[in-house]
Amino acid sequence: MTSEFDALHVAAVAKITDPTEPFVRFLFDGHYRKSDMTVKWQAFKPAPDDNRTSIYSPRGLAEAVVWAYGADVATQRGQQLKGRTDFSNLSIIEVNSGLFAEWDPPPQEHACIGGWPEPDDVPEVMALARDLAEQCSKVVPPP
Amino acid sequence: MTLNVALQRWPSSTPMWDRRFADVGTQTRLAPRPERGWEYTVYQGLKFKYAPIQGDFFVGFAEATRRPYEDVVAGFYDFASQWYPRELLTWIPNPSPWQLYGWSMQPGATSFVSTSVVITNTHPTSGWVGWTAPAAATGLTLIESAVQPDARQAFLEALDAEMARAAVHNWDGDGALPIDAGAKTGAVRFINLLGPTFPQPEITPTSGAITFDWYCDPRWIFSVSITDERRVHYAGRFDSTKLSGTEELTGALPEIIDFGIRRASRGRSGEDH
Repeated sequence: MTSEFDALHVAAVAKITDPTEPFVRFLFDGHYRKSDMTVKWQAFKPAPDDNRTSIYSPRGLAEAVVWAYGADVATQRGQQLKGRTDFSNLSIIEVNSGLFAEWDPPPQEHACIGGWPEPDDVPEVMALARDLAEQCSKVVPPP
Repeated sequence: MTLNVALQRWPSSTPMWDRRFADVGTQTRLAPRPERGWEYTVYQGLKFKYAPIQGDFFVGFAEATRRPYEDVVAGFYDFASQWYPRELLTWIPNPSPWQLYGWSMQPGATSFVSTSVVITNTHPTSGWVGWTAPAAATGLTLIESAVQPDARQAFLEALDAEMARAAVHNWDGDGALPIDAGAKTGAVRFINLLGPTFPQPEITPTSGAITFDWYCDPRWIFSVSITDERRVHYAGRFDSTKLSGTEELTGALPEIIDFGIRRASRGRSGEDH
């Protein structure tokens, strides 16, 4: 039987506190600027069904495996993968407004950015997504 | 400037905003023709464009048929469906309606100028529809060079393309909500408030919203998001200065948004002056 305490415990351990944890966000149409290959804030806008943003940790993975995950995401979305951007958990922490990364397997490298404001708070979501995008690497196209 | 405009009177007892364009007066049914992703229709020698899904808009109206064009206020016509209800019309103090959406296919006619003009006040006897006519038909000449390009036209075309892409549920494969007609109405209203000349933004659809970014670099950017026809959300960053909020879409561009757009568009070099 699962108690409320157990649920809280699970939630606590799922959060990623290591600021050096690397992440990638796979990018699709409308997520980046072709002019300078920077990431748009729209790339981090949380999904409407769970108000979270899907990311992956590439730590310890070969590049080919990372891109294979990207290909999986593209297949699920039914869209062409345009690239990826790299950032660290420190970027999420430094936005400093309640955002956090948490593991969300499967696969075990999958994580999400949670702690977004309610979707109705559009300006705050925009501002946080923009601050996050500002700290990301330029877009890396698929091999 | 000489403007070549022909006007056709509506039946005086007809509430014209409730009627389909093709059913009005003596007009024949418009036959769409596909061309470069848009559909066009030819009516009385003039070529009109509309988007296959969302429709396109005509602008125009004068309270009297001889009213100067500078006083014309705007309403929308959706060619894919019907006249918008009056309450959905957007009103603009000083548009340039002849720069919109229709043009003649006939040699010697006005090449890019046309407008649908419709009275939308409460007096049925003052209902009119109008459009620019071929020069040969009236002997008048439109001086094309006197008509400045309107940035809104290209903007509206880009908006239509993005709206078409985001018109269905899960259009991004990640559960995105469709961008509904209210958001488009709001976006068009917002665009019209920007005036005929303004710096072109990036247009990006997101879940349930159409967004505009005036971007210089990641730390110098002003963004607008429109989710419905009444409000505009914004977030800007100018290095350490951040601003965000929501404004009502009324008869004028909110001052803070005007400020944000101008500052982002000027870029960092604009700060030196």
